[in-house]
Amino acid sequence: MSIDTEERLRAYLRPTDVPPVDQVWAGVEEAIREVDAPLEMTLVEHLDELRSRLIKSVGALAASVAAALIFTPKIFELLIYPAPDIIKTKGLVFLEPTEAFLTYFQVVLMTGVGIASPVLLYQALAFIVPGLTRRERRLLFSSMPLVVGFFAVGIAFGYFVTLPFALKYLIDFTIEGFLTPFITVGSYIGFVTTILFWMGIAFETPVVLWVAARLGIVEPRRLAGYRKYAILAAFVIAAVITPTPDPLNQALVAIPLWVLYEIGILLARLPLGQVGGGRG
Amino acid sequence: MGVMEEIERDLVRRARDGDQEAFRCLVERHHEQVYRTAYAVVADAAAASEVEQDAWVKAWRGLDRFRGEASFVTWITRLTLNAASDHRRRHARRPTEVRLDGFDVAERPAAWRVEERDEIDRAMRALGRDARDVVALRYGLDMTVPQIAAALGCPQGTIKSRLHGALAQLRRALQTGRDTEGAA
Repeated sequence: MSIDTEERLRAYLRPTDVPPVDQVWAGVEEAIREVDAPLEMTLVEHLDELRSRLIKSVGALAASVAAALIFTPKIFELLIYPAPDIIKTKGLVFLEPTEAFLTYFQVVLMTGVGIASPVLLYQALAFIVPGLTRRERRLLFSSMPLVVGFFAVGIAFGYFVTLPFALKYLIDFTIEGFLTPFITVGSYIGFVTTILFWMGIAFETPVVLWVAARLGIVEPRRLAGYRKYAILAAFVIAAVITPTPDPLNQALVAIPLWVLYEIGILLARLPLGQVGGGRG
Repeated sequence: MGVMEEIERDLVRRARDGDQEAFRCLVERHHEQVYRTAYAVVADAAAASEVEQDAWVKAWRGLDRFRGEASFVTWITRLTLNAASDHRRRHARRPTEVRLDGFDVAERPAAWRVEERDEIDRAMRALGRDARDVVALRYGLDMTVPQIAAALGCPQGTIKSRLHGALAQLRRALQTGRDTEGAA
């Protein structure tokens, strides 16, 4: 390779000057504004898409409910597991001809919703996402793993901690003297699923605080200042969630809520890229 | 990690959150390198500007996929090479047009002529994409073999062999061109 050829290549491959950055940025800025603009659709197009997504969701739900029939006896076992032994040995009762049947299908439906939830969530997101800006999309996708994760932890906490304590307290209270538990399957399943659902929702507190901080609704620094109100609110919410009037059960829900508030403060201080689906 | 890397990571993070000002800072930091990379492949001022804009827009769209395994400059260099390659492919069937804009005669060797550009242009077009990228980075940006290897994510041995093969091919093509010209 002669030096001459290398020099010729250098002369050929190098620009004599570089355009000013402002000129480049003007073009880039205009292009990325178009990239970021939410997709605009007519009302009819929106309705069309909504119909298509609803049909897919209902299809997925129907298939999941059919599949759930296989698991329902097992789910029943799991729901009765946190109950005190007296309930397990005596069993649950039903007072109306339709009660057992309806409760059974209530559990089938809930299990089906659980199985279909990834599809339902995807369809809901796919409907919403095109209308969001890049920042909102990123926030949504980053918060998704946190939403699912905290909800699951909330349900696990309710199942392994809150429910056994609450049920034991309530059932023991009744058998101290003259009362015998005679619990219907409908009220038991309703009680257990309500507690589990609301524990899952309550555990979303850190995610809500994090998203609110990202959107600029709350300032992370101020959250610490609101602590005393948060503790009060935690005890009030706990009083509503827990069916028992005793402070032990109330504290059992309120203290985790407070801890969740503190986790929320920590999350709110983190940059977006360091939580959820963030990379980099 | 150095302060500059930390600043860059922060800019990338903010840009990924949708902060256009942070993205502008990234454009300002790497504009020259991106433009020179684009130019080294397409060898035309207007086309290089188009390619650069394309590369930045792709970077903006793809920030979520940038995992920070390589440095940002490596990532944007690869995006630019891809954008330049796409540009060449799109314009491959159009007749070769030798542009005189951005061509300062005073700064070029005396022997430099429009025909010479045309001749090198033809020789470069005959190279495969991999070889052309290596030649572009080596002679357009004066990058060393280890730097090119890092930018393209290939072993140094591969870069050396591509460079060697490409130069041999270019030398033959340019020599043949001269011979033909001489004979005429």
